[in-house]
Amino acid sequence: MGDISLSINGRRVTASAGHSLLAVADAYNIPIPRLCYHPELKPYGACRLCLVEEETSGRLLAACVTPAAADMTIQTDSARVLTHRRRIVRLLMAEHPESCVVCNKGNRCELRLIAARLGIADSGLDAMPNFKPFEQGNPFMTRDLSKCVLCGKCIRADHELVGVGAIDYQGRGFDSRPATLLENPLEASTCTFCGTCAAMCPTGALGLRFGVVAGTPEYEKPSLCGFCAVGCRLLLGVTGNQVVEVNPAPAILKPAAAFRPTITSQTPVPWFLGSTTDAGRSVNGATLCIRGHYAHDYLNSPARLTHPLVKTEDGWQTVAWPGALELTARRLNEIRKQYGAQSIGFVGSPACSTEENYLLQKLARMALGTHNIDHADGLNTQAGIEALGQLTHHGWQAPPLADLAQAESIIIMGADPDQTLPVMAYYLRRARQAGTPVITIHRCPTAFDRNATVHLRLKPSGDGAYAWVLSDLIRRLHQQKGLDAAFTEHRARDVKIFLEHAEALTSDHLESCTGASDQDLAAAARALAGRRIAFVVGSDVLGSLDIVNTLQALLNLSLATGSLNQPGGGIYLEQSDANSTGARLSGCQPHRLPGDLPLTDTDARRYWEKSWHTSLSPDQGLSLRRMLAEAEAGNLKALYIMGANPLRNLPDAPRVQAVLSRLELLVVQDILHTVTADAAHIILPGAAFSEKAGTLINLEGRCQPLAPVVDPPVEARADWWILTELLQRLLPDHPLKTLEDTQHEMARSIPGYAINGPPLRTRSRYGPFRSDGTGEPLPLQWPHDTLSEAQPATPSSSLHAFIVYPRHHLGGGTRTAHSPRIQHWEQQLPLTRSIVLHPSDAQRLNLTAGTTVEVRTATGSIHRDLHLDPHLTPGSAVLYAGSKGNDVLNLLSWEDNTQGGVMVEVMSGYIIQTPKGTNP
Amino acid sequence: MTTPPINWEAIHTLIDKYRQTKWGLIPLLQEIQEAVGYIPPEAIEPVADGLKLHPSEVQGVITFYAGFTLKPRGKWVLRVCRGTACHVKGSQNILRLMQQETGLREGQTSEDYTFSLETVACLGACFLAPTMMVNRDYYGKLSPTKVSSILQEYSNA
Repeated sequence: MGDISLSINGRRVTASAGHSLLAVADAYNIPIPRLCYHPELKPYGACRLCLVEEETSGRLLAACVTPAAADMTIQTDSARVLTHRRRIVRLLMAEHPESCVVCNKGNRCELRLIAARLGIADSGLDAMPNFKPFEQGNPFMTRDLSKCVLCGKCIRADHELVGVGAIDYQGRGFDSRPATLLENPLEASTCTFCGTCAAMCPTGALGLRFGVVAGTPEYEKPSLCGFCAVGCRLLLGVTGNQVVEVNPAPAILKPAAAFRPTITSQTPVPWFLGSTTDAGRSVNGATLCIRGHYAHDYLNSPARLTHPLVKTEDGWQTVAWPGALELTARRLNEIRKQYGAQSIGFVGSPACSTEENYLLQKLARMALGTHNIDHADGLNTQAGIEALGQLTHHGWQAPPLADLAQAESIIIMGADPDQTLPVMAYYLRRARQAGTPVITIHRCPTAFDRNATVHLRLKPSGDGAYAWVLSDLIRRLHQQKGLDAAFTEHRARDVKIFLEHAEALTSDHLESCTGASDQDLAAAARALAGRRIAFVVGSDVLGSLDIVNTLQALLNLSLATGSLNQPGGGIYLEQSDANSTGARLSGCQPHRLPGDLPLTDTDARRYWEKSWHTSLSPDQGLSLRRMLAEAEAGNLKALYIMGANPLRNLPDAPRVQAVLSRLELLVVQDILHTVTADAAHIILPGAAFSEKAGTLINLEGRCQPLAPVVDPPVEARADWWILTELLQRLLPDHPLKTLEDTQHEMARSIPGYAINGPPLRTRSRYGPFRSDGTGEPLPLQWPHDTLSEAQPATPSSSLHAFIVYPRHHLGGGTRTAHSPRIQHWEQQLPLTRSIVLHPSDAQRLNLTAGTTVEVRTATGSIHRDLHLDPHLTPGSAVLYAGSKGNDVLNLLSWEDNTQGGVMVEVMSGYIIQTPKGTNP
Repeated sequence: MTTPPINWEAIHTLIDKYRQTKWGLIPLLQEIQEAVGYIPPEAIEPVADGLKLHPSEVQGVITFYAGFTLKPRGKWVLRVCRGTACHVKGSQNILRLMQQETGLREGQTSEDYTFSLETVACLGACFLAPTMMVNRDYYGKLSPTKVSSILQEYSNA
């Protein structure tokens, strides 16, 4: 292990300098009890249970905080150690209530476990009554401070890992306890209910509230989170084939406990598309977020689909699988014969596995001969990924999130990761706590602003503002000699031309157009000077009309500062779904074949035609919105939707509803009886992530395998099984029969998915993305015409509304809304049912806080309660997605971008009827 | 019993003064307590914002130290020494007398915010036992008459 030699319990062991005695003992499987130690937290030395005896000096040392030194002779279980250890446990027990029988922690209680191992049944001391109330004011966590042993894990998890700081010790001595500010209940504190503290609590002081059953689950199995693109590893607790508890899986899974890769026996699991780092460590470590921890109770929702259903005149009819598959295949064939292959469309899912999306696009392209295949990411980041791909010639791939720890500075732009990707936000907070300057640039307030080194608030109107601010930062950095000339010399070109353009910028003009003041920009430039920058780009940028220019401006800054594709210089996009990357890589896009290869590329076409032994359709494919538009025009007759809910997640639900009702065939393959499923002719019940095998690829390009933890409900089947069966029926000699067949075919033929294949990014023609040192320098391009393009906001009766995706929902909230706990929680959060305005706007429009107002656009109108917030920029408003059936999207038209905000009129109004199409 | 108005201007000036200071929390809290007489709970968040700390952390520090108080105190804080030397010299009777005269128990503040009564483990002036402090002034070799006249003096001050 290392270069220091010492003895533990008479056994010679070696250690590296700086390792604690506890770490050394753990490495040699020498058991030492501990309560306050956690591998993800800094050693604390509070509980003193890890006391060991150093024989030479006779000292008792806390093993977790004592560095191993040469020639120590350590006894972990000497009589003296045991006497002290027993005494400590007895003292803890004297203050502990005798409610073990009804404690949910049960046999997982670490105090009980340690007491049992030390043979302590009764403390033998006078009980010290420690009456504290049992608190359960929120739907997620229970708190019983009488069981608190003051190990401080919850506080340290909150401060060191999550960075929210909702709780800290209060008081001293016997009075000390973890408490929120002013001892408010958690619901009234800054707590985000990530549950990290509760998962770490060694006793029953903090517990998870149960949805279905109480007590210890029958068994726990590792899995992945099916919600966002971070790809956290979970430990699912199962009782009676139901997932009843979710916790973060251990950060490092021991090989025995890890999933077995199904592709080859030598596969390192998981693997990365782009770079290689320590893939064995989970992204989330010991953390999770409110969704991952609590929203998974949708898995047991009564709305789960359990049987294939066919719509008849008498309503939904249960059918057996052979009949349902036969009918689906026959109807698809009939429609292809009657109207042609272009009359059929397919919608894949970033919530389904990579293999399933691959099978679906194969069904479309190979079995039915159409490229009409697309998927919808919950935050519509595809446009951004596409643009970044074009600008870098497919060199871009987000590096591992752990690289953020190496970042010298960070710019968070148009993103609110605390809401959309909480676990990514923890990485950012930890970097900030470690001293990395963080600059937030946004048009509305975000949770990170308070922690930021500099916060640049842009005017609500004018998408171009982001790009202008970035260009101005290059100008300022150039003046301060804060750019990396050595880097740009060989890897960039046109730097001079760019700077000539930039010199013409003036602070006053910039401020009046973008809202960013000279003072703030100067402070930002000071914080960035001479540092590499990591970028987090959010939906406010990615959904804007100006996206290509903004990303070009970002690449300019990244290149000029020598950050691009360097350690700590990653560009992260706010992708929303667990497998957005997988859906993209597997070819669930109309214009891209599997492996992210362009359909227009003759070589790529030929490659796939050869691999599949088929000829591909010469026609172009349609995107999801184009498919719907064609369906509206009567040209598209059939739609096959897998794991997507366009009626909830696309703008203008009434129009989508009308289009879906025009279709001759709508097949919906899903796990929940969604509004979209209800509009279908045939429903095929799929399996959730916890019920099937496959892989999910997170935003880092980390390909992680899933293993089934429970069985799908009743007759529901894994989606890959359904698609394989359909392929068999449409192409009887099709070779793929099992999931392994599919994985082997993908591993053979998809660059990037193949474990030993070249990483995707090396195909870029630009030097910064090629590890071999070849390639062209990347040009800096002036991304604007003239500054007058960004018009200053004109005061008018309409406001620029931003749509915030609150952290308890993912995207439109199809799954999260089926979690009883999340629903209950939303009832306690009036803000999510509100529109937030600046007080001056409310006054100008003659509106009173707390009243119901009507929010209207040309497309639709919704009702919201009015809430005021002076932190907003006047002229802007904030609306929350996910609540009330996600009706906020009814304000948008199909032509709008979902994220860039929308101009709304706000007027006082009363709800007369619930708008159509607003159910979950 | 209405709490006296808080001098927010003074608090904000002090926060600004410590904004850039490393390890400035405890000196800042001391200065706030000096200026306002106590640390108003409403000041925790501005202090945390100013020093870029979590409000819960600031509260943790305040509640850890006995020297900080989150409750408003009287204009004159009477601290009676309960150390060994003073005890031998009868500080228990001194305390009892002061409780009678002020009508306060330990840790209480009078309704008009004139006096707060506290006890201290030792004032470090054993040669003057029994002793007490009124704000920053020491009074030693106390006797019942001396205590009465001191209290009389301060209640008119």
